[in-house]
Amino acid sequence: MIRSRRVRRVVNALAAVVVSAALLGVLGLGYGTIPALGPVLDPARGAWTSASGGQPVTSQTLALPGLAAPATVSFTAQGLASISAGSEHDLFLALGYVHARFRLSEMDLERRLGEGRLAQLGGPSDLASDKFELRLGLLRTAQAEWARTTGLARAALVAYAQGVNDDIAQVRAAGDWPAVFALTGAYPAPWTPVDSLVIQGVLTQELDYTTGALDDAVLAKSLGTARMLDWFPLIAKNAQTPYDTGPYIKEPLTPIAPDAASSASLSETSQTSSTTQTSKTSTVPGVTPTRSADNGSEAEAAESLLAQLSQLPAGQVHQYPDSNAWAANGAAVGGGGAVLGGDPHLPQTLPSVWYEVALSAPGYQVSGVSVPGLPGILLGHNAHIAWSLTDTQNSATFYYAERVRGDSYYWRGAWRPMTVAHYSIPVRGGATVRLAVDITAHGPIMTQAGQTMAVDWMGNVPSGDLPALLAVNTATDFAQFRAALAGWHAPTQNFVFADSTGNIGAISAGYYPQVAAGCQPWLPMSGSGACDITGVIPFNAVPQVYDPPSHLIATDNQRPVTAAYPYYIGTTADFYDPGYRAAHAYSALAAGEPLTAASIAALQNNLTDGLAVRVLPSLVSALRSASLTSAQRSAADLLGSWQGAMDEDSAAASLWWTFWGDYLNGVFEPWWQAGKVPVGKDPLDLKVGPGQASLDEDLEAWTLHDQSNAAFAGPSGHGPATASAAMVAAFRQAVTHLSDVLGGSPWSWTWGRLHSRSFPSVTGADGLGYGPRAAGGDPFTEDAADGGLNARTGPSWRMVVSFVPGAAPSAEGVYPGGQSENPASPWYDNLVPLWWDGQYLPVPVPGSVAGPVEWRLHE
Amino acid sequence: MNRRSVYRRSVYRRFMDRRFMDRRMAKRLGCFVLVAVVVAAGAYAGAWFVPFVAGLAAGVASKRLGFPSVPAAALAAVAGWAVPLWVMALRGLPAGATARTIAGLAGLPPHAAVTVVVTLLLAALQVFAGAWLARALLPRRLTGRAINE
Repeated sequence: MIRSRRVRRVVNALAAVVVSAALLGVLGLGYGTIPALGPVLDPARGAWTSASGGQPVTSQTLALPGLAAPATVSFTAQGLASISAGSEHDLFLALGYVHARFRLSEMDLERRLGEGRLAQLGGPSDLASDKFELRLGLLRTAQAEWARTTGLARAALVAYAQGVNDDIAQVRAAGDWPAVFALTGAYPAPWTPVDSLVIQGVLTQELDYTTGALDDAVLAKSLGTARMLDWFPLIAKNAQTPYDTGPYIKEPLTPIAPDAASSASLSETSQTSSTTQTSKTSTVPGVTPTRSADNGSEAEAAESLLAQLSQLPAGQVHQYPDSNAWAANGAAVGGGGAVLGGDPHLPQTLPSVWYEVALSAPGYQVSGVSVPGLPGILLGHNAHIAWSLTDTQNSATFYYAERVRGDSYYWRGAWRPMTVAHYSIPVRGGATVRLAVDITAHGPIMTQAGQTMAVDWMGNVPSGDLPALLAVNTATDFAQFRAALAGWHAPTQNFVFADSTGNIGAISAGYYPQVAAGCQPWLPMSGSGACDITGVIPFNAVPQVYDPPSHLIATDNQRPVTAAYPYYIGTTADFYDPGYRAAHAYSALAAGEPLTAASIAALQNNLTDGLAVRVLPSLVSALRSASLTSAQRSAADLLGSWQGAMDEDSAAASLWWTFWGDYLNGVFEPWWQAGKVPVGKDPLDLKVGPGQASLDEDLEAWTLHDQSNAAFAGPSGHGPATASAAMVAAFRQAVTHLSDVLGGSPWSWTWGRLHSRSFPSVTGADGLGYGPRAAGGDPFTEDAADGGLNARTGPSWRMVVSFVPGAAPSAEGVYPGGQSENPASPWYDNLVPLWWDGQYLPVPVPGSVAGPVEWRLHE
Repeated sequence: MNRRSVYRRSVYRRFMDRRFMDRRMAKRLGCFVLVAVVVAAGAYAGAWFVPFVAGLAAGVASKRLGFPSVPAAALAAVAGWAVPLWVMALRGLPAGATARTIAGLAGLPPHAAVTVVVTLLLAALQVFAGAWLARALLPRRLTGRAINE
């Protein structure tokens, strides 16, 4: 009895010791991905202290080491900032401080993403992203860029980093870290200029890294090369409205910068290759190749790489072409002068990718939106010019199938050693992972499944984006603007321009890589050397226009040139927009009254689906003669009086969108099934749907001009024989779909019941985003909504700048979000309602006091 | 002994009992406040483990003196950790929104109450663990005589 009691006591004591030790261990040190909850949830320390960052901003005096002279930062009631400093050095230092003060978590997340350090924060689930980024090489490229950066850009990056580090030092001293750091225990390292260049690289990747060639390889294997080439052609089958209609010039290619990714300095390189630059300096003139060849044996590697990419967080690979930038002048503008409208469409997150600010220093007066992590203004205006950007969408990602033997690869007739970069990836809650990246003359090897495949991506060519941007910020006319952009390599962007003397222009600056005639850059190419990039389109010959006779320029991601353009710039599978927004914009800009800032703003918020406007007459005509049930007939009546507006309260909009999806599926899905297209490898880019621009263009063209195309009959030959029959079948199916999902009568099927927008938190945390909220729009409306029925991509910033002769420029803008990243701050999402209602705020004027709250900065 | 004297004695006893009770209550209340203050001060100093130490003390006290002091210590620790949150709210800091943010980032339901409850539960949990440890490791009967011996 006594012994049994003793045993019980010993067991009890042991259990108490073990439980107490475990509890204190977990609370003090954490376990796996569980943070050290003791210090994290200490109510006077830890994550709770992030509350101080959520307080309303008040006037104060702040000491910033490194400032040469006092500077001021003032804020409007909505949080829009205006920074004034005595020199450019102090200006960029203050900008770095302000960015970090409001966006430190976002900046740290972005650099972690680019540098392959997300798993250190988020654990094993982020390992796939880290491996991909380290393979691709944003960090290697940023290091190479930094080594070559000189002059104002170098000084700006150094001053900016100092400002960021001033904030980090303040936060460290006060202990009030943003919650994400306190929760993970992974606090931000000091900021460096390379970090800023990595963030530039992340933006480049999101806008420029594509998988078109991989998708084409998979589709060629599944559908057959001829059908793939027919359905995903070089030139779209439908009507397009390029902004540069020619005449075009043909000049010898420009050599690519002699420091592509393969030759970028590798800080952790164990083995170097001296052969990696040769292919990049060739000056062989390029010839536009014709598109005809077999799919090769790379499909398996393509599928493997696509499967890898589909595991990455949304937005890391370029997906949606949705931006708008327009300019008008002369007779097209009310009162003369010029007007510019810009709304880049990007993943919409909280906080936003943008931070709105006016910058003022002697010789540097500019305002607009900046990117936290980078000095300068990316889209905005100064006293003389205004500019905005859309993505050009050209082909800038080439894949090469390499012959590999051990540590060597075969290139230009000889076996050569691969460069190897070694990385250690720290993983929160797990063991550090080692990664070795093999690099050939073409670039890093991305997969070895089935076939060793390397990628030659223009984003890995060190690019003078920052010097170009800083020069654009201070340009006073188109000549200076254009000259500044000569050094811009990637991502290729359509820079749209207007100035105070009433001129407008556009230039699609960046690298357009070319290969030898006979090569097929739309598919993975041989790595033997025969299809290496031979150069890029000369700057004089890239798409551009200045003061066009129409007085209008619209760049909405459509193919910027006609079929007569003498260089290869990509296929319809390169995410060129199908052109509905551009056509609608040209039509709307040219119609009616002379343009004003208000009419540009109205166009930015327009919800007309250009594809619906084109196809609707054919659909209504087909339905008129079809045998329909009463429910189908009343649904058809809705379309009869509809003008194509994807309004939230429109039932016809639901019908149209569901019909179009069913129409695409009805025509193409039988072919996909017969060819066993491995949609699961990359659902976003391989699945039949409205997101496949090439298929939208094909079906539109066949519907309007080729009603009996063989595609309608399907692979069995027993499908609907004509477009009309296929449309009627799809319409019936759409009515059935909507009846099942929404019930009731057709007039109650409003678009807002099906369609919404969401602005998720960049941290991915549920409940810290905005929405989903019922919304109008679709991918083909000027106010685009992309990414599915719960859209997460759309206008990330709307801006209108007017130049009236004899007056200062007038600029207004708004973005969906807020200036602060702290969800507890009143400036977290305060701009969302304004954006949602189509309202704008005046963009702060450089040098002015933005509002009553002011920070006085001194050393 | 007449009825009056009996009555007086009864009243006196009750009076004395109440004084005794009041003193005991005051002592307990004092202990409660002391623990709460120490726990709060520990939180401000970054010593998140003070509730565990309080639990150890409560365990010793309960075993040695037979006081039902562990639940009271847990309550005191909860009160102590609630003080900084209360002060935060009094200073106008967005404590509720911050709690919601922490819950969201931690992958919990994004409600302020979740973080507040989890935070205060951590204090109570530490007290119970500390008390258990103390009671399990101390000799079974720790009387005054045993100590003197």
